[in-house]
Amino acid sequence: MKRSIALMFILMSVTVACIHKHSGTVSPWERVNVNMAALGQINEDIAKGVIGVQQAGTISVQQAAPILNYQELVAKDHAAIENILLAGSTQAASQSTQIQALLNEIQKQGTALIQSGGLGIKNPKSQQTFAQDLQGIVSLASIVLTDYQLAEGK
Amino acid sequence: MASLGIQGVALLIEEILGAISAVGPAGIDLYLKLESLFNLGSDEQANVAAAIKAGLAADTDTIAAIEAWKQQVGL
Repeated sequence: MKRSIALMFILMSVTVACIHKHSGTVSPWERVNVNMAALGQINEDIAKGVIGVQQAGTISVQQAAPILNYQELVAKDHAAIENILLAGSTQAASQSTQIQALLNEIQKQGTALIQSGGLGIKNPKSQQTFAQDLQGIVSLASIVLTDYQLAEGK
Repeated sequence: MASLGIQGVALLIEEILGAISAVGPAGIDLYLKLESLFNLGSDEQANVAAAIKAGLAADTDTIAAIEAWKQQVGL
C-alpha cells in the first residue's frame, strides 16, 4: 500500500502536466473532468484498501468506520458534482457555487477528520498513517477546485 | 508536459514504473485506469463524457463496497 500511495502522490503531482491529447491542446474543461475522474478512482482505491486492512484484522471496525464514512461522503459529493458536469459547461457555470461548496466540503471534512487525531494509526502495510492516506484525497480535491476556477476564468 | 525536460520525463517514468512494479495488481489496475484517463483523444466531448462515466462508476463502486462492509460488520 505504501507504493500505492506513493504512486497516487506521483500521479497527483504530475497530473496537471501529464494530461495530454493526441491532437490539439487539453482544454480547461477537459482538465476539470479528467482530474474529477481521477479523484473518484483514487477514493475508490483507498476505500477498498481500508476495507481490506480492516478485514485482515489490522484495524478495528471502530477505527475504520470514520475513514470509510468520510470516503462515502466523498463518493456522494463527487457523484453530485459529476451529475452537474454531465449537463455541460454552461449548466455547470450556473451551479458554480454548489460545485465549489461540494469540493470545499470534501476538503474541510477530510481536514477535520485528519486533525481529529483518530487517524494517527500507523498502517503496517503502508508504514504511514491513515491521515496521510486521506491527505491525498484532500489534496486532489484542492487540485480539482483550482482547475475548476481556472476553467471559469477566475 | 512541456514544462518537463527529457531528463525530468525519464526520471518521472522511472519513478512511476518503480512504484507500479512494487505495488502489484491493485496498483497496476489504478495506474492503467488513470493512464487511460490522461491520454485524451481529439474529441473534447468524448473525452469529457468518458471521464464523467469513469468518475461516476468509481463512485458507485465505492458506495457499494462501503455499504456492503457496513452490513457485514453490523453498522
